[in-house]
Amino acid sequence: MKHTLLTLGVLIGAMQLAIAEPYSVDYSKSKVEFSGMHAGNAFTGIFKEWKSDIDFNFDAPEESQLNATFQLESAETGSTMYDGTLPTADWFDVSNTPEGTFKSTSIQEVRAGQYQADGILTLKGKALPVSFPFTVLTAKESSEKKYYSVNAEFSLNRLDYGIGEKSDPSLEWVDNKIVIKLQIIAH
Amino acid sequence: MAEVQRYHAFVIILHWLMALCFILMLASGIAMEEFITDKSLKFKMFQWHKSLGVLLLISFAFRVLARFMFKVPKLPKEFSQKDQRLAHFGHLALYFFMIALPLSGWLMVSSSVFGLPTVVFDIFTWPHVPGIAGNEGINGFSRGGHKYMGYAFIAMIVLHIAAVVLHLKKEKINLLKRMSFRG
Repeated sequence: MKHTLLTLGVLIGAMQLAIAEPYSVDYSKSKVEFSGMHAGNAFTGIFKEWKSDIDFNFDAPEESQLNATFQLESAETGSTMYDGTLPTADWFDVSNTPEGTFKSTSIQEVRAGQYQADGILTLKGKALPVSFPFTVLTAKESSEKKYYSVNAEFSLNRLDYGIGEKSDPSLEWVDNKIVIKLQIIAH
Repeated sequence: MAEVQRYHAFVIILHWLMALCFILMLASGIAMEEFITDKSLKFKMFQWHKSLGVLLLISFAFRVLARFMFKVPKLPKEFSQKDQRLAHFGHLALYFFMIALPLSGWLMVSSSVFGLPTVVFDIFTWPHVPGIAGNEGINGFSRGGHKYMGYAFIAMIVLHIAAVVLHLKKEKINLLKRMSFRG
């Protein structure tokens, strides 16, 4: 009996190991942030609703997959003015394209803990290649539970995606450069 | 029925408040279109201009209501038929601009492709006119209307003040008494 229980315990342990990847994202501690300049003033916002599938292979990073979907309607800047503008047709056009997606095409290890992601970012129905470096830190919580901290920062040009192309094509009000910051905590 | 010598206190207060606000609106409108280049300041002025515009639109409703609720002082007996007609026409024109300017401004921001909401003094959101977002035809029309009616309103205000001054100088009739608490 004791022997059977032990075997069962080992089996469950092995199963947990097997399903340890893909990782589960702790959304309460993770953040997808965007920032830019409007009329000479900096603005920052977050996407409140997004989902990410992280299938990371530390032994063979090139086999890893990073996919994310974010709800454009959930963008929040803390300014009623901006939050009222972003969902409209010329900006995120949320009624026609409610989601933005990122799908990785290649993950490369640059050096220990440093990686390079290439992928396709789709916004407003426009799929364009993006690539950005990211870091992965492994740390332990007080409960001895391991967690991973993924950080990335890159910029894109809003006009490439047709964001605000009618309202401000000459970049009079909103800068073209939008910085995206990812802070992801996964178990 | 007893005749009144001056407008109701509510109307007097509203008249001067709206006069002050409209002068600020006309000045800021011209400043934004012609002189101000600093983007941050210009953006803030736009939002402020929109906020005050909403208040003026609401004030107009009270102004019209008050016109029917309270007795209006008769024009002086010395006024010729022609002057009476001119005064009526002038006041009608002033009322027209008082409503047409806020309305065309509202149409302008509602049809703007920019889609910026109107948050009145950062307190509450004033809705857009529905169904015209990004409508370039309506936007161009209301934009032009807003601008030229603004200049026409300035001309009407100048005539309005000139009339008061001329009646005082030529006929020694102080019309200002009708719209103030003094005298």
